[in-house]
Amino acid sequence: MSRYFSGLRDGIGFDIILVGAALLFLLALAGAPLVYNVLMSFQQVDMFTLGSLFRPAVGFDNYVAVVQQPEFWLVTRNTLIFVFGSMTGQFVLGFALALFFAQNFPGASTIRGLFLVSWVMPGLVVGGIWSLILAGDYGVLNVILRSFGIIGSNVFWKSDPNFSIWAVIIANIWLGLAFNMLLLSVGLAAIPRDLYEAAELDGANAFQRFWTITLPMMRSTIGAVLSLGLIGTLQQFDLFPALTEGGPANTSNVAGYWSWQLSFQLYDFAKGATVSVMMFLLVLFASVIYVRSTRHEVRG
Amino acid sequence: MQFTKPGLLAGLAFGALVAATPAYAQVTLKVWSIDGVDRTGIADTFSKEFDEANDDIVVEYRAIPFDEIVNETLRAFATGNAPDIVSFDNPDFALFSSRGAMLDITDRVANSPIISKAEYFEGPLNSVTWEGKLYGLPKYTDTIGLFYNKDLFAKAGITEPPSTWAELAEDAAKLTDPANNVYGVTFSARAGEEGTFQFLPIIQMSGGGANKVNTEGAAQVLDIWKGLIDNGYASRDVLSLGQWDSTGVFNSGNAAMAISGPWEIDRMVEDAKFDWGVALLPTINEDDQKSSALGGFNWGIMANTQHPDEAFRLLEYFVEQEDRIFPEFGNLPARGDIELPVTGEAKKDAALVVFQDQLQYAQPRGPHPEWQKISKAIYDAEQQALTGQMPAMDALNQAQATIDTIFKQ
Amino acid sequence: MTAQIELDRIDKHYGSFHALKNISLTIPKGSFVALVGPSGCGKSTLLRSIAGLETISSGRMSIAGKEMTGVPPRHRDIAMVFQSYALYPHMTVEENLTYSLRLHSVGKAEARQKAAEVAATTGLTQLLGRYPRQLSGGQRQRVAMGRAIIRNPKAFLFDEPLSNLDASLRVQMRKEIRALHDRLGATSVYVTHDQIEAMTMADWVVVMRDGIIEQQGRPLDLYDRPVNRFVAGFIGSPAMNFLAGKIAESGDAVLLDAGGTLPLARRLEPGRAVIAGVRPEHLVVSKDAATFHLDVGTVESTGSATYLTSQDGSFQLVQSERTDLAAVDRVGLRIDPAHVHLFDPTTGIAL
Ligand SMILES: Nc1ncnc2c1ncn2[C@@H]1O[C@H](COP(=O)(O)OP(=O)(O)O)[C@@H](O)[C@H]1O
Ligand SMILES: [Mg+2]
Repeated sequence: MSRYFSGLRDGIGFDIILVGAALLFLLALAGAPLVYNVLMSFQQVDMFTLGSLFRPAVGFDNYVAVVQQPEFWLVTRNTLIFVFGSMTGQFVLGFALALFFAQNFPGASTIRGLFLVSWVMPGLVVGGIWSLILAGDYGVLNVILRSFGIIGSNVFWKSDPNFSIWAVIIANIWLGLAFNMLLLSVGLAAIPRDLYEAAELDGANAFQRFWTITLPMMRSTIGAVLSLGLIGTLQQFDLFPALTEGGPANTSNVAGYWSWQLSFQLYDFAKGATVSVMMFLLVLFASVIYVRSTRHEVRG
Repeated sequence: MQFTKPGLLAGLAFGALVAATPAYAQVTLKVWSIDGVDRTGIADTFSKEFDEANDDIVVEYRAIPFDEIVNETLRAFATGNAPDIVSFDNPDFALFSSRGAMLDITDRVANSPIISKAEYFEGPLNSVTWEGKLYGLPKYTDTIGLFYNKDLFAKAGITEPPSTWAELAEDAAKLTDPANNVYGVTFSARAGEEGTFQFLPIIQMSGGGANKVNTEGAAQVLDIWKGLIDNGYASRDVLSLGQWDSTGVFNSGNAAMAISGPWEIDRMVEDAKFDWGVALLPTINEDDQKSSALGGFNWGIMANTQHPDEAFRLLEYFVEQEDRIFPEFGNLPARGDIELPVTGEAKKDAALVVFQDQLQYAQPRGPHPEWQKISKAIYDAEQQALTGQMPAMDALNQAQATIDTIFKQ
Repeated sequence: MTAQIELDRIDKHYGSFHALKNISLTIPKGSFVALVGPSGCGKSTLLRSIAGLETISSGRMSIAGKEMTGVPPRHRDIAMVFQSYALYPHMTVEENLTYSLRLHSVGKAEARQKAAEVAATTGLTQLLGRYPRQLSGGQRQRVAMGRAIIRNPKAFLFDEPLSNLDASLRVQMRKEIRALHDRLGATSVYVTHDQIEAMTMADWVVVMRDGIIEQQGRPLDLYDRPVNRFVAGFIGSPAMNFLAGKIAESGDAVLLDAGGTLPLARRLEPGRAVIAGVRPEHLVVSKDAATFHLDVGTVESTGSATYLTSQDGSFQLVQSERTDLAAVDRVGLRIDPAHVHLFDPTTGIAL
């Protein structure tokens, strides 16, 4: 029996089974809905054909129609700002907090644990809370900024087209902060202390230690955090209905929310699917870059 | 309660027997609505009553959240699992009726001893009508008017509520009091159906409608509204506040006027620590045609029902009970022949009289199968104008272009 | 000789735990000093304090004449070889070697040149392009050494650098490190729990226990003249045997509690209770002149030496000749009086 298994494990057959199983899994889990979405983006969909797989094909009509929507470029721009702003904020602040709590002052781990609270809170609740915080007239944020003299008059975060996307970004940064910090904390904790000591004896100051030890040692963690951050940000939905509904006039609308709006508010399922396929291509593009950047990675 | 084991078994056996052999052929009707999701309402209560009163009919009631009922019904219809009776928000109704998904009940209603089509308000009736045929009945209705804070009006020396938007702007200027955190007026111009709900009446009173939004009058009012915001007579956050939150500002005394509907009355009676009243929605010019938004839900029988007769009987039962919907659920009937009982709460009774009056001017959104796309074009334009991203007329023209493509299809 | 490292009444507390107690130590320039003692006695703490990786609670410390209290590690010009090697996993051997040079903005060409030189002396020339995970334990050890010497620091600190190597490699590296030290003429402080390493490598051995220095001196002085029972037991392998007894009436012998006598080369107060210490290698099996006896438990021979252990396991002796003794034999033993150490039973201090 064990001979049989070891023969299997050594043989090339076992590899094929492993790869095959993984692919099958991927196809069933991720592939099926994806294929369905791609299919739908090339079809004409209405309420009578909603339940069927094969519908009148329309070629690239849906894509053309989506691009011709007056809000298309605005939504594209907002999506890029949203993704870039959210990820940068989440990552930089998350890293700063992770480094801060890595100092192991008394109570550090307890306080760090408290950050989990933001993570377990449902997005809609977080959105509701931030909606109050960001309110123009009585919002806490304005009160704070005014008391520090940073702003002279109230900023209408949710209603001013210059700020509306940033209102969602701020809330999203807060929402993703704990996740980023915890993942990065784990990465930091995995770096042996003695590396820092060796570097310190070798003459590295704190900044040099960060650049030459921490960052390169965290490479795979950072890669994971950023990819998950990208996906999480593109998937972010709950904050939009709670904060701005993509308004005013689409100035805070992003691809994910727009896709939902098209499908489930305007009942234009084909266009909704088309936008989600476009988003998928964006993620694919980002993952290719990520994979390429880590291909030469070496770990100790 | 204590069961003995044999007794329990016998009970189970008896129950199984009853379930397996009904006394006579039963009809099962499926009813879907949003009632009962967070509190009991018309549909769940009356369905249960009807189920109990009729041995030959079983009513299976399902409560579905507001955000999901259209999608759920679309999916069910596409896969042949649609309910027999469903209740939609009135702008969503045409999506189904225009595509033949709802049963044409024109003749049944005409022959019904219970239902009298003539008694219904015009607006609600329009929303269940498609190409001259009746595909459903209004379930209840509501609309919007102008709430105003009588104490603040008196303090500002204003005796009458405004009747035009220009007057409203003048009054708002007088009523605004930044030192006391008081805005002149509040409303909802949110990026969503609520925004359209409050802005479409303006288009309608300027002679436009869902198919024609770029009217001079509408642009004029948008400019007035923009002025309200830019001058600080209304909070810039009207662009993100829903009606409920917007009216909350009024209730707390931080806005002297609010555009909102009768669903606010009970909360206002509770929360507002001042004297208040309701006026008809202002018009553009003194003697313009009045208009107001039409809210409320409709009933409809779905076209692929196996039991149209029984379903219509249930519908008749719903209609028969309509004198109960205001006292029991606070909903306004969409008919002129039902007297609202006096509640004894003076402000509330006065407000209801005004809303009853306003209802006569309430016009449906659409009806159009692609109403939601039209709606988005409208609220996008409204927001573009109010935020100054585009001149009002340009924004309305852009919306018109989008709407034209929808109507041309 | 000038003092390279000077420790003056150093104390170190970890919370309520007193890890280093009033340590004073002078390490002359160019010397090789071993800190030895049982695990947990504070050797690493002391070494890390010298490096600046631990802040001392009180006391003063200077390196090459400069006061070091409060000076961060990177300004102490000291190199350390860690037990774990602490090689930078994401850098090649060459990058590991030149890390400190690059930090001090030494030119690329010069750094490469130096790395090549160091690689040559440590036998790493073929491995410069590899990553640490592609190296064997011994090779990593060399990289760690190379990384230390490339900087030409004021002192080398070693924290049990050989304990992760197998026995034969350990013996070889011992010699290499000592040879390197002699060649570079650097000051080295070497922490080990292995007294053989300390004795064979160091010019000067510091024996520690529970945060204090029990004794320091040249290796053979510690062997010959341990100041207390702890040092006597710690230095030497196999360890010294301890036998309880008291001074005979004559004052020049110990009457052992277990029976038998040990002759002394000096005279002590008769009747005084003592602990006698005899090293296994100083005992001689003798049929005629025996002064005490041993019931043999086990007999082990390495070929060059034979180890006899008593039946109760408490007593060992080493003979350089082979023997035909069997496990159950009772043998007579004698010892040169000069080799008998005496300790106070309560204080453990040598008499
Ligand atoms: N960071 C620390 N916190 C508390 N106690 C410590 C710390 N580091 C070492 N110790 C304690 O100090 C004593 C000496 O440790 P160390 O110097 O590492 O011993 P060793 O002689 O084995 O190298 C040990 O008892 C150890 O438990
Ligand atoms: Mg140690």
